[in-house]
Amino acid sequence: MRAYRLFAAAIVGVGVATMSTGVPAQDAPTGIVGLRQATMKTLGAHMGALKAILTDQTEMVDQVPMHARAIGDVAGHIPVLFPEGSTDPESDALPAIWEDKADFDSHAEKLSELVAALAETAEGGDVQASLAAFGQMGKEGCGGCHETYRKKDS
Amino acid sequence: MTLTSIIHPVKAALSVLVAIFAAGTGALAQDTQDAVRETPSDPLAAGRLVAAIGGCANCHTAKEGAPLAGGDPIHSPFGTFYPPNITPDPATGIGGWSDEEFITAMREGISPGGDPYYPAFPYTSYTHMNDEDLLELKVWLDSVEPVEQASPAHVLRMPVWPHLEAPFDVRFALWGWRWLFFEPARFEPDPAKSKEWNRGAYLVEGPGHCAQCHTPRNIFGALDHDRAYSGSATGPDGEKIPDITQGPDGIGDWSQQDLTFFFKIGMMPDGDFVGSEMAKVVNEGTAKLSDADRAAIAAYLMDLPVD
Repeated sequence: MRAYRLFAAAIVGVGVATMSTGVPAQDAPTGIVGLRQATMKTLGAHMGALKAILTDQTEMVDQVPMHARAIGDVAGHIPVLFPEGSTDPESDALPAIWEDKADFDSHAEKLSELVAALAETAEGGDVQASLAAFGQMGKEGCGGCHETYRKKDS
Repeated sequence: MTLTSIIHPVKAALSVLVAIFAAGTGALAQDTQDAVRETPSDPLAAGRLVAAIGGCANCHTAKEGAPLAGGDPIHSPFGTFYPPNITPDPATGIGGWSDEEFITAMREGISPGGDPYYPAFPYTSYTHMNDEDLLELKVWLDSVEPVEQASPAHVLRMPVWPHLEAPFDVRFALWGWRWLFFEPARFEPDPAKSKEWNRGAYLVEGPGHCAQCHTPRNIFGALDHDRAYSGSATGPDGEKIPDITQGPDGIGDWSQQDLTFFFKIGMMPDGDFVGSEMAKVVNEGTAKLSDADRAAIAAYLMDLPVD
């Protein structure tokens, strides 16, 4: 009996210790940071659809302009999604954004132009040219801004 | 105490002073193609491709500099390295090197004067390259515009006293490092694997020198092959380098198609685009390969052992 109780006590002890030392999960950001993270994820989803069309389901190239326009619409919202001081421990946004907000905003403008070019190319039905425009949009539109204004791999 | 057991620690101690954190693909690349005298001959085009996958310009071309005339400094725990001028200028570049001298430099890390290079120059990978690729690469390098520009001397540091510059030329101790960590090798195809896998293995282990960043290093700055491709907290210029094995922190959720496409335009499965040094590796390197070569690289990477 004594051994059984010791064993039970040990289990309870370990359980309590685990609970008390467990690091609480960081809450997903809410407010403007939560919105912009959710919005950025929608861009990733459109990018995934564009990749699937341009590398696999190429006969669906007529669907490219819709995804491109959706990205373009979001690009138009990027400047207001990053108001001054909108930081969060879970945010990857670098303070450099607000040191030169005009430059940051110009990247969103650049993305708008590049997706417009992609939509236009895809309307012509040329898959290879669309793929090239897609790559340029990703590198210069998405990558160009992330390189400067987003935290590197955490 | 045997003679070997005395010599070994001595060599190791010497080596630690000079072991270099090889900085893989460094500085910014510019489009080196502008400087190439376009001729349709095959070795030249082939050599340009070897230069692309080898990423020569990533280290040897400075952000604001002439192609291959010397790169931006690479900062590492072992000091600051200045990638030298590799244009065909006879005085300050590599003009006038014989094919044998070039191959010895690439595959054994020994200069035409007989001095060992610091392993910041990734000859420990290039040692796997074949003669054809190296000779074509030389044809292409010889075609680049010669630029007269002297290369600054490297500034060595000892990781144990990082605030002190090494007070003397410690290049002689590189012989010890080589003795401990380098064996000239050549790529040997694995007959049990597919042709595609072997092609990928050659590109990754040889010219692509992926391990130089993606494999962690020991305290001597030598690659830790037991943890191959599991990433590194201290890549070139302090950047964190990801695990690219199929392990839990790696890229097990990427398909071969994801990887092949990544090497074409730099897009990751989540729709985001790769940045930093790897963006240059893709844009200036793998993007210029054939689809078959990209698929081969992917096939090999997906088969990397998980430790």
